[in-house]
Amino acid sequence: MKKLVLLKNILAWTVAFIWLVPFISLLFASIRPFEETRYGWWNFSEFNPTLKQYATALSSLGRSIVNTIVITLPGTILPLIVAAMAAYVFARFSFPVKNLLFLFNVICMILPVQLVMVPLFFIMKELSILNSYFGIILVHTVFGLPWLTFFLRNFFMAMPRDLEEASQVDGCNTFQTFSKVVLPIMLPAIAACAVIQAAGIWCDLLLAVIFLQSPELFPITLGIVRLKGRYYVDFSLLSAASIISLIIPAAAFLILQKYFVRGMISGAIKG
Amino acid sequence: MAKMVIGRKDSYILLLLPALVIFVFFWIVPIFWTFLLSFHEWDMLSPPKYISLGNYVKMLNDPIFYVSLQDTFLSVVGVTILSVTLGMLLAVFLKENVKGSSVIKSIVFLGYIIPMAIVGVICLFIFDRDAGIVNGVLRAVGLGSGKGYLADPSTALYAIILMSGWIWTGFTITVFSAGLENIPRDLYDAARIDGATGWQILQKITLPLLRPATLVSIMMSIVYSIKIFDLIYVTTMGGPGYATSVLAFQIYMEGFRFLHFGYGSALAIFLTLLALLLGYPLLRTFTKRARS
Repeated sequence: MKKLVLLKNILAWTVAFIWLVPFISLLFASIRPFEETRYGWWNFSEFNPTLKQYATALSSLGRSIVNTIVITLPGTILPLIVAAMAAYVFARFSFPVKNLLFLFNVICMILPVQLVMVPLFFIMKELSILNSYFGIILVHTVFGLPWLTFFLRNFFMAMPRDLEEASQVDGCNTFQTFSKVVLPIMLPAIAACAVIQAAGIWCDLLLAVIFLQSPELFPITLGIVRLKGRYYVDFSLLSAASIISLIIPAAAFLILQKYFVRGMISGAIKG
Repeated sequence: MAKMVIGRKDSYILLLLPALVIFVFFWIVPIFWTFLLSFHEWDMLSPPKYISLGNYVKMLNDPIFYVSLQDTFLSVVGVTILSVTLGMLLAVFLKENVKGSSVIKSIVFLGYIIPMAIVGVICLFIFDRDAGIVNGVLRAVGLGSGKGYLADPSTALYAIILMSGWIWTGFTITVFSAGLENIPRDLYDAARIDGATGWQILQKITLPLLRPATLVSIMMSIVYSIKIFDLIYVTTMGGPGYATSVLAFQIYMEGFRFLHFGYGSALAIFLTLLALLLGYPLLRTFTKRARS
């Protein structure tokens, strides 16, 4: 019996190790000059650790990191506000086309970006917000809205009505009830949604590729793609750049794991 | 009292208004626009020309369309099978007494939260002919490739599938773990008292009760894998040839590289119908849950 337990542990940690191999590859490549690792980072005949790649990556990605933050914060807050208000209405009021509208919202959740990207491109161009921070933030709002509304509506539905009724009796109007009573209670759910929306924006490439053209506006994902040469790929530099750009979502995940999982699961399973 | 009634009647429309504006101008209008574009020929240089079903006829006669369709089909099936199986096996296995199972779960989940662009870099790196560890290991046992796996049309798509499956397992393992949490402990205790073996418990209790989690995993995996774009943009750009040119990527090329907006729109309509068809069970669960 003891042997079996040991075997299971060994097997589990072997899987974990294999899972980590890509990350270990990045780590070892990033701290060694590419001349040394060209034929494999596992060759240690020469070993001169250096942080030079990190310095190069940081200096060429600095602007992109700032851009990503400038896009992520409003790109998370704006759709959350819009979605929370809409979700509350969907959960608590009834009006003529409500079910149809909600069905459309749910369908939007699985529509591919490809369906609307060309018209959106031209609409943004007409509004002169193509290739701007505001434009890309607006696009993230558009694509975040359907699933945020859906998730938050489910959370609102599960919330008891007593407090709202009490606040109405005390003379609050709908807006006051929403902002002073409902929102504070919903904070954990909203936080879970915020974490997932923020992670989505941090990781986005497709929308940046379509709606941003100037390199000085590029988020970190596009910045890294630009670092990759067309014919010659310096994996040491790319590895350092990759580690820099994944360290923030990874750290955020470790700190906010609870919210992450709750957001993912409640949307997918419990609802 | 009158104030309350007015408040309830009027202001909720105001709460809905911003979302309504976004839905109308940035979802409904673009959807109809793409639909109309799919009946036109337009390259931005000359005004759009109405060609009826021309783009759809072109699509059905385009050999590249069938290659894309096959690439899409293979990646949807491959990624779904890979990530659902791995996620279920790992979640069930880590439920046994393994030291640090939550750490291992976090490691598996880690893949899910890193940007797909970085996954692309990792993919380029580990499947590289010289610097990549996959070829390094295979070379050591005498099976090395002389080409690099992403440069070889016969392996490129499988490298992409393996990578996407690896990442998406971070999602499925979370769904399965949550599913396992929901199985009451009493069931296991009762089964053990009745003398059931570990295998019987797995077969008769764990797997049947994981059915909802399995369905959700499969549905979400399909909807995820039909949209894979970033990974291909960073690694192969659809190549070599059209070996990795899945529909979601081909639409981007037609629209934003070749400026075939009409034909790209027809492909986008096709992809959407495919996504709705394959995503229909997911939509049903979403709306069913919404009603109850």
